[in-house]
Amino acid sequence: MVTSENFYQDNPDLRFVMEQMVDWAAIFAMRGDTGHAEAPFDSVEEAREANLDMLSDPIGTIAAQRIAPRAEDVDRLGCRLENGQVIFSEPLQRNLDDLREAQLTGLTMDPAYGGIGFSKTFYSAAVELVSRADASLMNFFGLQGIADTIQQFASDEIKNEILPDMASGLLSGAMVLTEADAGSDLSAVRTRSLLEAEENPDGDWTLTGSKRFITNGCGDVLLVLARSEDPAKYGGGRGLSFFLVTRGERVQIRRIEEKLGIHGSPTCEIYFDKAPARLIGRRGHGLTRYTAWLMAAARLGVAAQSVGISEAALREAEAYANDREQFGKKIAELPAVAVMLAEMRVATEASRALLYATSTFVDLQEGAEKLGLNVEEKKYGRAADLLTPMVKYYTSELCNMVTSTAIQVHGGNGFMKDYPVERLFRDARITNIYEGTSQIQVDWAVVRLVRGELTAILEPYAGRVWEDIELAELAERLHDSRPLLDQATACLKQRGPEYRDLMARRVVDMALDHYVGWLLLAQAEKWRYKRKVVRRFLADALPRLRMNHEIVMGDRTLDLERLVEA
Amino acid sequence: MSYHIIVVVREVWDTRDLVGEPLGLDGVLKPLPRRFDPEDLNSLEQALQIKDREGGSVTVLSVGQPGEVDVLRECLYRGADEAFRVTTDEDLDTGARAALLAAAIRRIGAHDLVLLGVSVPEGENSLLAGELAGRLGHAQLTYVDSLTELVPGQVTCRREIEMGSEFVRLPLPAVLALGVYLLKDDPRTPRAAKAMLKLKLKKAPIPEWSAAELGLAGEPRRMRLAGLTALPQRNVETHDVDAGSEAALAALLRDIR
Repeated sequence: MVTSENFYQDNPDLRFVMEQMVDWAAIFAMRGDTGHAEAPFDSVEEAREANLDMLSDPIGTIAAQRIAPRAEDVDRLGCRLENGQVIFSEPLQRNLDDLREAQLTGLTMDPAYGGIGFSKTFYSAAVELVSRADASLMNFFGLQGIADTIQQFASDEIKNEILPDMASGLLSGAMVLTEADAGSDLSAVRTRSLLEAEENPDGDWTLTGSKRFITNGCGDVLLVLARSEDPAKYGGGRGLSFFLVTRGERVQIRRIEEKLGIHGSPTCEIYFDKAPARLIGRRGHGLTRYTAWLMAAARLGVAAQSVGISEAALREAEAYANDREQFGKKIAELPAVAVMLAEMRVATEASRALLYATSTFVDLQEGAEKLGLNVEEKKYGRAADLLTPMVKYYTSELCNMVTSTAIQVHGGNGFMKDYPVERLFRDARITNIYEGTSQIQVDWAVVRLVRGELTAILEPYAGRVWEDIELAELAERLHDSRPLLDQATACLKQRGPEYRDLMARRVVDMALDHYVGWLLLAQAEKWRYKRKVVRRFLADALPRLRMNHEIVMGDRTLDLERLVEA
Repeated sequence: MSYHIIVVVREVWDTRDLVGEPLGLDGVLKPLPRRFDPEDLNSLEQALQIKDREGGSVTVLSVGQPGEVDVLRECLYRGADEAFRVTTDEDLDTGARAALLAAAIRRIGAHDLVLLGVSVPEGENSLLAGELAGRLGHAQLTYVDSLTELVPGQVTCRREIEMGSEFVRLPLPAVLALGVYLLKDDPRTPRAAKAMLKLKLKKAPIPEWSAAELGLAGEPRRMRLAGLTALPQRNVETHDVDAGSEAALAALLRDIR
C-alpha cells in the first residue's frame, strides 16, 4: 500500500486546484465569510489560509495516518447485526472517534449550532481526502448534509435540540428514502405517516412501513420521506412529506445487507412500527423540495468520494508500475502500461477540475440565496442544478474506469486481496448507483442541457483571448467543437422526448468533454504541466465528441437502440 | 486528584527522508524541512491524557521564535491550556537553554510533572531533561515509555529494557523524558489538531518572556566553539618489493622494525 503522512500535502493536483483555481474570494464574499464587521475572518487571505490549513491538518493528516492504514481491516471486518443492534468493527469505531475528536463532524454546519460553517467547496475537498483513505468512511463523514437539511428546513425547536449534538458528533444521521418498490422512482414511496390526533394539525405523527438500502440506518437522527397525504387527493410525489425520527424501540433494524463494496458502511433495512415522528418543513414538500435539496448535497458528496477513490487507485497503479519489472524494465516504461497510467491520471485530474468548479457554483448559489440576491441566485442555481448531476455521473463513471484499469496495471496481482486495488474497485462500483444512478443523473442533466443552461456556464470562455499561442490553438479546437454540441442539443429538442432519453447520455458526454476541456485549458494557463494534461484530454475528447455528434444527428431509428427481437 | 503538568516542546529538523539528492540546483545544500519533535509530541499526548482522566492543566513552554512549525500553537490546537514562549536571539547550548526553561518553569509556578521527549537532536541523550531536573531540584527519569501510575506525590514509570520492562517510582515533582515506541493504533499516539480550536486559537496571543524578564541577567553562560584544527596529513611512502626475492623481503622486515 502506498503510504503518506498527509493526503493534502502529498497531492500536487489537489493543492493546485485549491490554491490557484478555486475562486475563494468570490465564495467568501458571497457567503459572508469576509468583508463585513461580523465576518469570521478579517481578510480573504486569512480565510483562505484557514481553509487550506484545515485541509492539511487535521483532515489530511488523519486521513493519511489513521484512516488509510485501517481501511483493509474495515473492509474485511464489515459490520454485524446482533439483536437488532448494528455493531461496528473496532477500526471503524476508531475512525469515527478520530473524526469526532478532531472536531470534523460539523464542517458545514452553522457556527451558531457548534459547527465550523465552512463552504461546500471546502467540504468536497475534505470528502475527497477521507474517501481516498477509506471510501466507506465517507458514508459517515459525508452525512453532514443531513444536518444541513435540518438546519435549512426544520423548526428552531428541532434545530436547537438536534444540531449541537450533530455538530459535536454525538449524534449521527441517515437519509431514509428508498423502499423496495421506490428506488429511482421515489414518488412511489408507501411508508405511511399518520397524524395521531387528526383534529390537531400540530399534533404528533407516527410512521409505519419499511425502508431499505439505508446507509447508516442505525444512526440516531433519521430523515424519512413518507406519505402523509391521502393518495386519492394527492398522488405521487405531492403526497410525500419529510419527517424526523430519532432512534428508539419503534425503529427496528431488521437486517443489514451483504454488499460488494463499502463494507465499513452498514446498509440497513428499517421497519417503522408506529414510530413517533416530527414533520420537517411543510406537508407535501417532502420530495419536491427537501429530498431534492438533500440529494443535491449527497450527489456532490458522491462525486468527491469518486475523485478520492480514483486518486487512491491512480497512486497504487503508478507505484506498482514503477516497481514491477517485466521484460527487463519497469512496466511503467512499457507503452501499453504507460498509456493506461496516462488515461487514469487525466481522468482523475479532469474529475477533480469539474468537482471544484461545480462546488464553487453551489457555494455561490447558497450564498446568493442567503443574501437575497435573486438574479445571482438564479444564475448560479441554474449552473449548480445542471453541473451537480453531471459531476456525479462523470466522476463516478471515471472512478469505475480508473479502479478497473488500476487492477489491469497490477495484472494477476490486482485480482488478489493482497493489493488494495481490489478493494478500491469494489468500493467504486456503488458510486455510479447510489444517490441516483448514472442514468438518473443523465436524465436530470439532459433536460437542463436542452433548456440551454450550459450556455451561461460557457460564457466566460466564449470571447476569451488566450495570449499563449499553444493554448490559443487548443482553444480554437474547443471553439470548433461548440457548434457540434449545440446542434446535437437542438436535435434532441426537435426530435422529442423519447429520442432525447435514448440519446441523452451521448449529449451529456459531449457537454462534459467540451466543458471539462475548458476547465483543463484554464488550468494549463497557471501550471505548465497541465498543458500535457489538456492535450492528452482533448486528444480523446474531441474525436469522441465528433463521434457522439454523428450518432445523435444520424437518422437511426429508435428501434436500433432496442435490440430486442420482435 | 488533578495534576498540573508542564510540557517542554521543540521544533527539530525532519531527518526522516534523507534519501535523494542533498544539493539543490544551485549546488547549495537543500534545507531540511522542520517538524514538531515527535517525542515532545508524545509527551504532550501523555500530559493531555492525564488531564482528560484526572483533571488539572497542561502548560506548554518553548524557547525561541517558531521556524516552520509553531509548536506552541500546535499544542493549543490539541487542547493545552496555556502556552509560554521564552524569547532569545541566540543559538543556545543545552545548559543555557535549561537555565532559561528552569526560570520560566519557576515563573509558571506549582506543578507536579515536567515532561519532554528524549529528543532527537540531542542524540536521544535527554541532556536537557537532566540539566532541567538539576536546576529545579526535581527527581528525574529518562527513556520513560509510559506512566503506569500517578497518585498524589508519586509517579511510577515504565521503561523498556532488554528482556523486559523496568518500573521506577519517583516522588513528585519530577522531570520525565519520554521515548515512546508507538505500535499500530497505539492509544498513546498523539492526537490530531482539533478543527474548532484551530479556528479559535489561530491568533490567540502567546505570552513571551525574555531572559531579563525571567531574572537572568547578562549573557547566558554557554559553551562556545573556540576553534578548529585539522589533523596533519600523514605522508605515506610506498616501496615496490620483489616478492620472489628472499633478500628484498628480509630488508623490508628490517626497515619496518
